[in-house]
Amino acid sequence: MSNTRRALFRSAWLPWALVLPQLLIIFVFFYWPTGEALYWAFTLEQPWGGGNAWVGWQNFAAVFSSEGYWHSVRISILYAASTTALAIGAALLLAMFVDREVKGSRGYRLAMIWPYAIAAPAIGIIFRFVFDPRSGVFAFLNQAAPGLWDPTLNGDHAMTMLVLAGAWQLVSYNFVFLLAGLQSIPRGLVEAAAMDGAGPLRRMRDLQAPLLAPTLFFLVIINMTDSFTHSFALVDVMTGGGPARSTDLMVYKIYSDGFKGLDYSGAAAQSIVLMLLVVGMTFLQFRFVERKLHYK
Amino acid sequence: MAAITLDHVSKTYPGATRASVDGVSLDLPEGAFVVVLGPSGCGKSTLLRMLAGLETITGGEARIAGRRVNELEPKDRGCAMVFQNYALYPHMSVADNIGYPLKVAGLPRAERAARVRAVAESLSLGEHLARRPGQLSGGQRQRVAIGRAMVREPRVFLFDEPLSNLDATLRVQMRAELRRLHERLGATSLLVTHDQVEAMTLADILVVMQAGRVEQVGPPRAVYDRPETRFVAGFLGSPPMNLMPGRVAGGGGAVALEDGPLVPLPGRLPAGLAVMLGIRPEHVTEGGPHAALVEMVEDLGSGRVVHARMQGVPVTLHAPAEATLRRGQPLRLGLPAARLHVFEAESGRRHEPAPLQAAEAALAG
Repeated sequence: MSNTRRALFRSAWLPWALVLPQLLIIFVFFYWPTGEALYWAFTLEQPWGGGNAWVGWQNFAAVFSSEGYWHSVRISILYAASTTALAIGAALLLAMFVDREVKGSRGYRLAMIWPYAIAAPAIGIIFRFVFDPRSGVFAFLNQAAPGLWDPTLNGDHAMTMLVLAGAWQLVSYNFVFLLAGLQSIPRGLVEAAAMDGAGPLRRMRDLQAPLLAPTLFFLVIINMTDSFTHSFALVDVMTGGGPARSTDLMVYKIYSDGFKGLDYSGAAAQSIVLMLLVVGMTFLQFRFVERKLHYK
Repeated sequence: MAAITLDHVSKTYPGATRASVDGVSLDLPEGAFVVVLGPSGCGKSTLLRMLAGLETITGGEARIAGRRVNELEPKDRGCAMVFQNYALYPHMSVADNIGYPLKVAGLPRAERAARVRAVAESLSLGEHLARRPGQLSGGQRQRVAIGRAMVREPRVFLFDEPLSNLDATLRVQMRAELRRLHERLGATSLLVTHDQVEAMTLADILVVMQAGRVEQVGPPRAVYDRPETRFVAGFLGSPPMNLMPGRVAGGGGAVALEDGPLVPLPGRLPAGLAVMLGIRPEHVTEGGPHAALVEMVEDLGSGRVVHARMQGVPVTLHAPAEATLRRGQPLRLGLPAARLHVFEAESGRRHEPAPLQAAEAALAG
């Protein structure tokens, strides 16, 4: 029975030839670099090239015993969680407003996804101007009380600025998915809830939010992964990891340790840890969260 | 006091040139089972939704128990509604679905559970309380939807084509169940349907609608026996009433059918008036003054439907199951005067022939 739906090739090499380009791309751009990083993580690489020595777990031991690294892990998780929460929360609110007012306006949806197409460094530049303590939009705060807003000196301010910029980019993406999810909820259900006495906020909580759960789950995974791995450009352009390493996220630390500190092996070890962290996180979410979301 | 009063209620959607519901006025007594019947697109569902508060009323006034409800939120109107596609919450169990209105109303958990259980038992859903709607059959889902409406003990039940998603056997069962439920609860029920059998069997009061207007209101029997308009005559009944165009002739005492025979009337009408002469298939008699030819015979099991042609006029009649009529066979038909309905051709309104004077009748006889 199961064979009937499978396309059968008479020759042995044709199917391989057809998937070869895809396999090649994955190999060259994913498995090869990952393999190299894995190899470097267990060797000590000379800063200017010219040979390396096998050192076993020493690179990892060095990374894990470093207080700076654990700090980086903590603020990375903080950044990812805050960005995800803010981006999904804001997008949900916007999508719910739009769902109530303008049904099915495609042009509007298209316009809403554009911010996602803006390159992260460009966003970084824009928000650097917006949040500049001396000439930005919020400079008036410093006029009122000097030092009230200064992401170049205050680590918490810098982190807030990064989270806002990171969330801003994700809001548009989340909005499109959430609006589509909301519009796929049958109108009759919302009307039934209205007849049952539930007001708009109650309906959001009891009906729309649970029915959106699969979409929300998908977005949490995408947003978290994105926050861990794609925050590099924002940090690089906006704060450079500062002030005083307060925004030294894991992905930025890999770059600065490797290419500025010339500790290739330590950076390779860190990138392996980051990869395992994201893989593990995604796995856990699928294992423990996703199974609770299906009601059919 | 009337449970529901509609006073010239209208609905015109923005941008529409014609009103979907056009000045409907009704007075529905407390405790009645009212069925609104009409073809699809006649505005019957819109009327129901306006009463429920899901559509705004653009003209006129709706009152429930004497209180104007035009501006009230759905939840404040004291109505519960059963939707065509049930609209059960897929992520909640049967118990949570039924109990949701109580939960929103903020009732304590224990009281909620007791009332949900009582409602579920009365609908024989007792052993399904923990299940999700997706695990239930169509009939069970329908009962959950009814339970969710019942649990609030509303004054008014609104049903939006509640049986149209069920298969034929289940529909007959649920129809009887709805009627029993209505009798037990004693609330006012308003049901919208396009199914005339449903309408005839359920209704205390039948409202026939067409193109946004009410055509006729009354007990189903009365509407069936004495349709006020040509539309109602043709819409109610299966197979539908024979409607034959003609003109009053014979000094006002008969109708000359177009391309057909002269049919005597039970009374007098203005001579020369263009009319539609109607007679139900079950009232056409076999054996009578008019010659006809059988064109087709449909066997319904319990009887037969004969399609015949009386000169140029097609006539449908009921025949017993034993009848041995065949295609092409000649037969004679009778159109009893007492069973005739006359509608003015132009307006479609019913026209009651003026009774003959006794002497005149004796002469005519």
